[in-house]
Amino acid sequence: MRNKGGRESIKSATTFIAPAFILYTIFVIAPWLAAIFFSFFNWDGIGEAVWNSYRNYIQVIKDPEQLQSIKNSILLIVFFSFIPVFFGLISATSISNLSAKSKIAKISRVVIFLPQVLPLVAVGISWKLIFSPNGIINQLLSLVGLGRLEKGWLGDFNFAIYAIGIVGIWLGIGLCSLLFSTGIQKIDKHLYESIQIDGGGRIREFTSVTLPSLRPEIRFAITITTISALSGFDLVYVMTNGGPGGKTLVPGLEVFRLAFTYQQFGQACSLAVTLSTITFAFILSVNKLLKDY
Amino acid sequence: MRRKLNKSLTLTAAVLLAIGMPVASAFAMGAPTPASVSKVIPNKPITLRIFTTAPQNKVSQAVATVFEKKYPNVKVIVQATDFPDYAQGIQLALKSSNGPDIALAANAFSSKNGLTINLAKYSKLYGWDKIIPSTVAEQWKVTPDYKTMAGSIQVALPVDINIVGLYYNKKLLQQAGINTLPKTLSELEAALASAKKANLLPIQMGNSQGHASFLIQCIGQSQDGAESAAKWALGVSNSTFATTGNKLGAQKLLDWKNAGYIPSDVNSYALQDAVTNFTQGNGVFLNDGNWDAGTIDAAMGSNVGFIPFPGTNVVAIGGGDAFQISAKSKNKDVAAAFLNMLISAQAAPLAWSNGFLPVNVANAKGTTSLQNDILAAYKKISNANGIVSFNNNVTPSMAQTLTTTTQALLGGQMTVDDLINTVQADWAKSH
Repeated sequence: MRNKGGRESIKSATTFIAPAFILYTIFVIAPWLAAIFFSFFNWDGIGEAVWNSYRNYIQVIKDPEQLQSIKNSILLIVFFSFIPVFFGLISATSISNLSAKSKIAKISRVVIFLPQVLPLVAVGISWKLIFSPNGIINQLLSLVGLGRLEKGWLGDFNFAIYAIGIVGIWLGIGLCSLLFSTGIQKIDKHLYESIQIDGGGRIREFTSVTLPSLRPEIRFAITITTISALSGFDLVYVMTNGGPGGKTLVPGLEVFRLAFTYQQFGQACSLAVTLSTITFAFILSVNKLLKDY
Repeated sequence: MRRKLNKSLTLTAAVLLAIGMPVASAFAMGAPTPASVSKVIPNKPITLRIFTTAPQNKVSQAVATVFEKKYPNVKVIVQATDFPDYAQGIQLALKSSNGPDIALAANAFSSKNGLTINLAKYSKLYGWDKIIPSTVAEQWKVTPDYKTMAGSIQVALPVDINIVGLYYNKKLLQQAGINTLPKTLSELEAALASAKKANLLPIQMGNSQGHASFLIQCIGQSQDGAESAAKWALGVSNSTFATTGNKLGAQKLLDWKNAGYIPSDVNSYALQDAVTNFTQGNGVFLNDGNWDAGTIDAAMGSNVGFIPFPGTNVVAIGGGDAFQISAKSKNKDVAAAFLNMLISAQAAPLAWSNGFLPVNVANAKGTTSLQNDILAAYKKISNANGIVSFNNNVTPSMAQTLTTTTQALLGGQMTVDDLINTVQADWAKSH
């Protein structure tokens, strides 16, 4: 009888899991395995594929363009992940200190989170206009008499990558602060009271209670923002298309170019596999560093 | 043991099949040649599908209407996509079983793997070589390995011509005290200096997509001559980019940037931004192709003119739209008849009225002063056999390499020699 029940539950579990599992296999696992497979071939995407062993992977390191794209994306992690997490913590703590019913708290939450609901292409186009030679930044600079600082920000070798970074910060803060706000609401209020009784101030509350309690949320925030930094495509494609001179090239865009412009599907796949390996390694180390005690 | 081996072989085959890997591909190299060609259109209901880009589709559509009138049993469907998407999807469309009969060529090499036919027989049948200038035709003839142009396989038929030259703003020219149009590089340089002195921007330019490379090619080939420049641009082996002309071109680009002859934030502007700025009176000259003539004409009217790029030789960067016939088309003779109509004298005014310079210019007449300037420039260049293929078409990655290197040169990140070497290295990978 008991045995039968077990079999029944396995059966129903299979029924529930199967649809998602099949779709996941077709649309995620199979293409992923295919990419690993293709990465060992010289293939233009249409014609005959020729076995190329591990040479595509050597090329990832030897080709300055591909290597530059990986370096750029690692720099972007700072802007898409670390800085938003830092400011997200500050904004979430500040908002939580306001009364939950206060209008300012509500408005702040909406305004900070708003960038998250916009499509990235629209975000890219808007920021491209802001940074353009006739854009609002240059207009403001000339308005306050700093016209000599005006430049085409996205075409500037020293600034273009930071321009992308600024958009990353703007995008990430909303997500991080929302995550942390929910986390803060779960923290037992008595912990704060005990700090107050001990005579501790806001900073003590933050370092001794808020920060340690938010460990899982911080881990989660770093994980997903890092993935978005490493796998980014749309923002760069729209804003700079990797320019000037490859200064903002990211692996996502380079994979696209290798496959569809240079007609090197095998090479594109090996860069994609390299990128996913880097992403995995990064996420594993973040999770190890920030694991729960 | 044997059974186990069989099993693993079956498994491997199944995996390969599952992910659609054409390890032993059915696609032969080279272009299939039709066994027989004919001018006769069969008298049965036929549907001809054409894949092209906007705005070329307007010309194709206009010609389709004429074609359908001439052959009432043929229905022509014209489908258009924007170029970047088109270039990335056309190979798959040609490979699919419901692809087009006629397709605009993304580039000379994009239809390898036997996707489109060799048009040589049709070319002979219709006498296309008598209409198309050889410098344009050879851009669509490739070697059997699909790596070099000026070969023996005719992959596409060019139907219109793009030339890159120099637009100028007549009022600003006068304002800068320039009374005669420059004919040599030194005269051009003197004109740029006068413009700068008159507080005008001498050359409007946008390089976020690499269009500063036009200037290098224009100066380079006008110094080196069309014949030698064309060899490199067509991918003929043992050619080099490290020529006196190209080095001078890159050096002038850099010098003119430093002298303030081109916008200081040139890397932030796209070509289209430069065109807009030029039409708004910002810039005395603009180094651009006739594909923007419609926009410029509409905005500036009689205030704008067009000349071949000044230099020792009368040359122009030139190419154009070219069409291919799918290897899978069931109506290749009909498709060829349609292509023949696209380059006929009858179709020329249809191309012209939609802003295109038809290959068949014998009867072409402009309706505005700019159109007549472009026509005159084209005839001059064509008579001097001075058309050179776009440098950016010589390898699949050359457009990107030229973008990256010119941006680096103008951004002070690369020397002239580095630029020349990087461009040549890209070229050498394919040729």
